[in-house]
Amino acid sequence: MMPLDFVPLWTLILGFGVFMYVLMDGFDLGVGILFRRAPNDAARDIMMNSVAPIWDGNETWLVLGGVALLAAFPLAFAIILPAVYFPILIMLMALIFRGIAFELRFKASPQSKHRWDAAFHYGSLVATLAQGFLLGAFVQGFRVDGRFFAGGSFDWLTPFSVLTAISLVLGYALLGATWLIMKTEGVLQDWARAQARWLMGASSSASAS
Amino acid sequence: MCEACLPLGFVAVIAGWITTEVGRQPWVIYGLMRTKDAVTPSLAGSDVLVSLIIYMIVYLVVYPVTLYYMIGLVRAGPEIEEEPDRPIEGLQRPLPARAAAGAAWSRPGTPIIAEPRP
Repeated sequence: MMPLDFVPLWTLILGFGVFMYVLMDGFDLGVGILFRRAPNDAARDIMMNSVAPIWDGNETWLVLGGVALLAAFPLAFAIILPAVYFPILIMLMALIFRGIAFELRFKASPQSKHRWDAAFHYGSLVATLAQGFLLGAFVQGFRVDGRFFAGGSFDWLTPFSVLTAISLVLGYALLGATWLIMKTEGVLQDWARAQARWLMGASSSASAS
Repeated sequence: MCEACLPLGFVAVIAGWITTEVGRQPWVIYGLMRTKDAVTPSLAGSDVLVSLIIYMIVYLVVYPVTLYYMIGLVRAGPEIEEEPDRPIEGLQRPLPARAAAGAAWSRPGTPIIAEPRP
């Protein structure tokens, strides 16, 4: 009997996890990115509620990705994590503000509601930017010496990673707009359709360049 | 008396955490790996300090804010739902869906009114 090779198997599992994360959390982060441009406050209520029951489930794909990388490819984990220490830290902090905004926005008084709008919007935006920097740094590769990352803590900041960060924001916003087209109706749907139209062009030209 | 015991659970959790973190030194995995061998070489002390400060700021914002809302909820007390006049399932208004709840949710104790079917 042929011994089971774990490397391709885990590569497939990790690839599937990352794909699911980008697709699923992509649209709810995208809803957050579009949040402050929404036509009115009632639309914002609907936008938030359209993702409220599922956003934390979507984020669990990120946990799977991190844990699978640690368990299956510990050496890659030990090199990648120090290299993108700050993008990951900033992403996690941003996700905290975005997460509590879901819980506290509907408990806030009308005067302080806008603060949670900001927490949700900027949390989503900053988390997405951080993921974009991470992606750019990953594609460009890391300086390695033996079994360790040999670069500095800010090597991830390059013109290329700035571009991937902007592309990812536009891409997630497009996913969010298409989600809203699917799940809402009336004024909000028309607005989401208009957003999707320009985001389609912007995100494809950003990824092409 | 019971109210005074409220923080004890938190004290126990934090004490346990400190025991595991401090008690196993100088090992990071007891008997297998020293803490000094587990240090990330690329990470400067200033990086760690910056991240610690970021953590502290976030915690100092998130905890008081959450506490503020929790105290608000406790002060408001539990919502007492009125008994419907006729407790027959089909006659009651359906619970407001969370999607429409922006306004309805914060309105305390909306009475359930049984409307007769036409």
